[in-house]
Amino acid sequence: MFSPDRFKKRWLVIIPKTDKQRAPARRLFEKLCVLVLFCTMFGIAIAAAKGSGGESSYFLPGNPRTGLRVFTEKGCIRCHAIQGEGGRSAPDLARSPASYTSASQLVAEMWNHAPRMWEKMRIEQLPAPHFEESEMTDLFAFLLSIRSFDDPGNPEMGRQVFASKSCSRCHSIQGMSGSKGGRIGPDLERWTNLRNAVQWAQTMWNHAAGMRKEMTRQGLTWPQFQENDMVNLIAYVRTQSSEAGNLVYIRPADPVAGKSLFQSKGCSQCHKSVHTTAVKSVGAPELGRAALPRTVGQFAGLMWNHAPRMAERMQSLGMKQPLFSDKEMADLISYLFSSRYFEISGNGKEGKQVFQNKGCAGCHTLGSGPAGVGPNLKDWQGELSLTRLAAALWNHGPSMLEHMQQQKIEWPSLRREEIENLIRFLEAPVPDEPSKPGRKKS
Amino acid sequence: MKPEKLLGDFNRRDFFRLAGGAAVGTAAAGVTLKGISTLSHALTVDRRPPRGPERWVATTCQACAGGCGLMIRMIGKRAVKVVGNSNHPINRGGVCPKGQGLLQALYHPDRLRQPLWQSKKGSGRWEPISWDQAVERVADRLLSLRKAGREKQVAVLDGARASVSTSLWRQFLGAIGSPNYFPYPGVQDGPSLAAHYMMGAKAAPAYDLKKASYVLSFGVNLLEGWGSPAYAAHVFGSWRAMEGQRTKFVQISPRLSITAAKADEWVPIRPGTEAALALGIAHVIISERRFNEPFVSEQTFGFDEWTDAAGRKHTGFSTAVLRDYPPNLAADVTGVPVETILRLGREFAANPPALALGDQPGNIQPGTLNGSMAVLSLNALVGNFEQPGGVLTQEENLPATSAGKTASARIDSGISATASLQTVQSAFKGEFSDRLADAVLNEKTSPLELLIIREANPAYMSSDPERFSAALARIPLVVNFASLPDDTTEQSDLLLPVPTFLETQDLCENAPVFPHAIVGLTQAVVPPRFSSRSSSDVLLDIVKRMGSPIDQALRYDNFEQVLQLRSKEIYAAQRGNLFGSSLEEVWDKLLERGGWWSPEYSTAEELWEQMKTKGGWWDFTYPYGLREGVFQTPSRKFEFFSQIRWNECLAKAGRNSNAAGLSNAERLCLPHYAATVSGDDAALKAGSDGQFPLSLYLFEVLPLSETQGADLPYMQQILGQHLYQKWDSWIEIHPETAHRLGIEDGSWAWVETPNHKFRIRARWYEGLRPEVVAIPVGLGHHGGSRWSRGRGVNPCEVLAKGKSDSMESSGNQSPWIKTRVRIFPG
Repeated sequence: MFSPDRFKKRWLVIIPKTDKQRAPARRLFEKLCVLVLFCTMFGIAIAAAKGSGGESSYFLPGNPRTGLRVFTEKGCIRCHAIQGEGGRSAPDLARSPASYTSASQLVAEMWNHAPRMWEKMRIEQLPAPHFEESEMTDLFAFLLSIRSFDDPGNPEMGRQVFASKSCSRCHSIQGMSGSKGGRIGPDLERWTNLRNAVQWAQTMWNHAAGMRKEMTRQGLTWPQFQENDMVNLIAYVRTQSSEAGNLVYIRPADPVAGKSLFQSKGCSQCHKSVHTTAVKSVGAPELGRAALPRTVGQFAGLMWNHAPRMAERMQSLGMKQPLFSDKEMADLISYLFSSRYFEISGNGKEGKQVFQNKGCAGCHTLGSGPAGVGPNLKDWQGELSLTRLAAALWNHGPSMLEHMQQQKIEWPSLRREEIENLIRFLEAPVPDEPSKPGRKKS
Repeated sequence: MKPEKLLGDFNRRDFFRLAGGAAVGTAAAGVTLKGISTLSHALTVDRRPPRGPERWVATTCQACAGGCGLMIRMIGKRAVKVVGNSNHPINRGGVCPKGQGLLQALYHPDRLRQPLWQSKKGSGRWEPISWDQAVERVADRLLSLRKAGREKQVAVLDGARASVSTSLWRQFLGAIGSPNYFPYPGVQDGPSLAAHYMMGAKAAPAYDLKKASYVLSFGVNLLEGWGSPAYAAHVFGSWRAMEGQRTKFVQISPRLSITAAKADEWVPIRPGTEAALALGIAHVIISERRFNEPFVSEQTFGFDEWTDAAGRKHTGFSTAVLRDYPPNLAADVTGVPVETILRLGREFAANPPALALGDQPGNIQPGTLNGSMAVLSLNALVGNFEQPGGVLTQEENLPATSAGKTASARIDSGISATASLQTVQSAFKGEFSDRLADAVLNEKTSPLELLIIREANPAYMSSDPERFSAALARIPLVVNFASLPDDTTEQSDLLLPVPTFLETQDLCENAPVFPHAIVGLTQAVVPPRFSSRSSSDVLLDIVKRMGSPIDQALRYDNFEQVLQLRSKEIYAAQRGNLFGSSLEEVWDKLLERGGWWSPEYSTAEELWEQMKTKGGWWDFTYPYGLREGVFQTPSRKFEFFSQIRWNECLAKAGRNSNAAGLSNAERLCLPHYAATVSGDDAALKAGSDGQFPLSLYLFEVLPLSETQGADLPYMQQILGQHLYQKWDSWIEIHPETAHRLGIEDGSWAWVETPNHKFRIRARWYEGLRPEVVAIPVGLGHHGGSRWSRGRGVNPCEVLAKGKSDSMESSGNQSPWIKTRVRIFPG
């Protein structure tokens, strides 16, 4: 869904080709990340109000294609699979967790499972790879992209969806006759080559009004798609094609265009996003992390599910239902997915509690104070990102674990919120005495 | 003037000097790099070190049908090294010896240098003519034939691998109104016909080798030139790379080939009994109910008894197999122990996806139809079609081409060949030459007035060279496009020198066995040497000279324009991508799974330009799944009982067919083992007991795959590495047999068939069944260059007669496996 080339081209503008030359650009990038986090911490409204000032915040940092290289060369693939390809001894990172997972959630997952990973690697005599922050950024970009891709789909389950959702009451495929297919809706033959769930969602969305009308006349309820129903349906319809090889794809989506569409198509009138607040208070859900499914196809299914309700609400507000091309819909989803990925919504005060309660303070100090066993984390102030934290946790984890085992300290588990709070605290430590948060250096 | 008189100044003294240098290097250990280096250096066109900047040019190999990607290292204007293109999805950087030898073909001292005309075929009196004269002679003949309404008497025999160039020639024949385009048969003759009868396929099947868990190969020598040797080597590597998921590869063949030696298990079998073994294995799978019941019940036809529209009852495959092929009988026929047959059947069913390949040993050996049908039925029993690790289809996976469609539409719309030429069209390699001779000689006047041969040497494969020469002599004009002299060039009227593929442009389309649509760009890494010209450019000149209306059908300025038009068609398909690294392939596939497409080009022009750097374009996806239309049979299912063949039999037999004839036809429609040979083959009958006690098994070695390579010293030097044989033919005999016959290792021996007798070097080889002797194919040329002519023996000439029956008649015994011999010390 996310175009590595598009990102590559954008990055080429500022990133020279050699590693040596790249370092200053990387530093620039890191500062941009900090700016993003800063903006997020002080409210999405600020970024939205600044307009173009928040441009980089919805770009996906890192290059997914390079992330695949990292994933392969660092040996992650020896244990983890990606869509079924790779090792079998650890979870398939394209499918697990099953829900939309932000970068902070991934860091939490990585942290919590790290001791088991390291132990397994030790037993199997696998070397523990070292990650540069840039590599971790690429890796996270890769994971976001790959997790948003739909599975190939199961034709048999798709056949069941076609029957159980009453699609066959109105539609036939390549002239199915009699009880096998209806004649009210168009023959789905012309859809047999559509490869992307977004293409289906876009067509269904644009024709939702007509379908709704006809379904009401037929006494049919609006079908609801769950999880992979839509991709399974696509897989089934594809098997009905007698032509192989003439599949129709979508070019990778552009989150920048998606941001513009979010406003121009009127989504921002009702829905809140990272950069905008809803203009009208109509109770439409915020398209935050909790509302996002894992894949683009699942998101398309949700749009379909809510189409009638949205149509009613828009009608009542006197709004015209926006129509999308498949690329526009892809851009829009891409914007929502990527803008939420690196979103950090924690606060430093709670982060301080995490730092103290989870035992971090037992080894690490911040700024002045007696030196602990672990390094002083004052260098992170103002320059901490999720991927930097992830790289540090991974690279120093084994020695941390060893020390903690010697000290009989239990490996603390961290939730996503705790990771985000911790980041907030580490980049801008909260003084001991409760006081108003000071202005942070940018 | 003889062609060899037109050669360079490389003399006998030079040759002996360099051969001596090579011998020093190779004496101790067969072949050494130093020896080859000496040889190579001495054979280059210019012994001075080249000067100039270094650059690498991507191109596509056409030394065999495999279509590997190459990178040619250039120093100044000279090509100095060949390596594999690591971005090419077929070979991923690998390159076989034939690829390494390309520079010797490019700088071969015997290259044809200018158009030659001989007033009498076979006279050897060649007269140099200009290209204008050559084009004029061909164009005038074509025009006169068209004027006389005899355009169907024009034929093109095309030995080039599938490419835009071959499409152009097809288009040309369609434009002038002749249906007689004969692609000189290549790989997978038997399997492709089996796929036609049982799947309704129009092309040979492809195989998802990499993803198979278990591969049962019935004589398919993957590493010796079947399909693409570099691809096969890559597949072998992937089978071994996955820890805990190692693919088991079982090779069933009479001889321990390199493939068999690299297999997990070698099962020695009597030659020609592969069908019996496959059906014995089918017996195990059916009787123990290990077959894929959902697939068999829903996607196949003819597994059980059935009744046709005329009320005739037909035997089901399961009944025939359970009745005729119990493992003990199969063991008696094949020489494979019962326990092995039982184990293979159980393993095959228990390790999905399991793939059965065969039965075609190499690129020139056709295999047998019944054997191929039996093997294909094993894949059907486990339901391994159109899924990862299974049998796949290549049909229509390439971006559509308007040119090809026009041509085929014209050919298919009412223009039909004469009966004798139809027979030629449906022939297989090895039979083709004999059928062509039959077609020409059996009629009062030749059905052909003009035969154009492109990059093919059918005379070599003829079992009767004199008869083939007589046939060519009856054709008034034989035009031959070749870069080196060969057995067929001497029988031609007009000899037109073409560049090697390192000097010309083309787009090679698809590769045998490889399931993905692929288009590899062949680039001219050096300008055409001497006055050679691409046959496609010559064709366009002929078209221009012919004028309207032919030039309206092929309105191209030059061949590059044709190629660029093709690249636009590829771009218009909106799928696939340029060749890229393995990692880029993984990324592209991940994108595709999600329904996204991210090519590295944004315009057709950009695609064309980038193909020159990357080497080509391919569609990395495959639409797995049993789509509608995968099986184009009457039942739209896989047919254990081939209704296509049944209808053919009925059409042949006519309404007066008797019960015995129909019974035989029914047998032909089911996979079966033909234990008997045709009744009139007295020689074979006589030899089956004592007079000719040994089976002759012909095999291909990689350096001479597709019978090409004998012109190159590199290839001659590495003919039989396992026995250190080079520059000559040999016969392999099991040491027990040799001892019994009193034949020493390395001594001369006489080999006698009912019709022939020849002398050959005998080599002991334990990797054979004792009742089998084996000879490599590819040497024994009557014509050719200085390094191929008269060297070794051509075993094709001694094959048992009756080649034309090998695929279609009730006998079904290919001459490649039914020839028997006796041997005595020479």
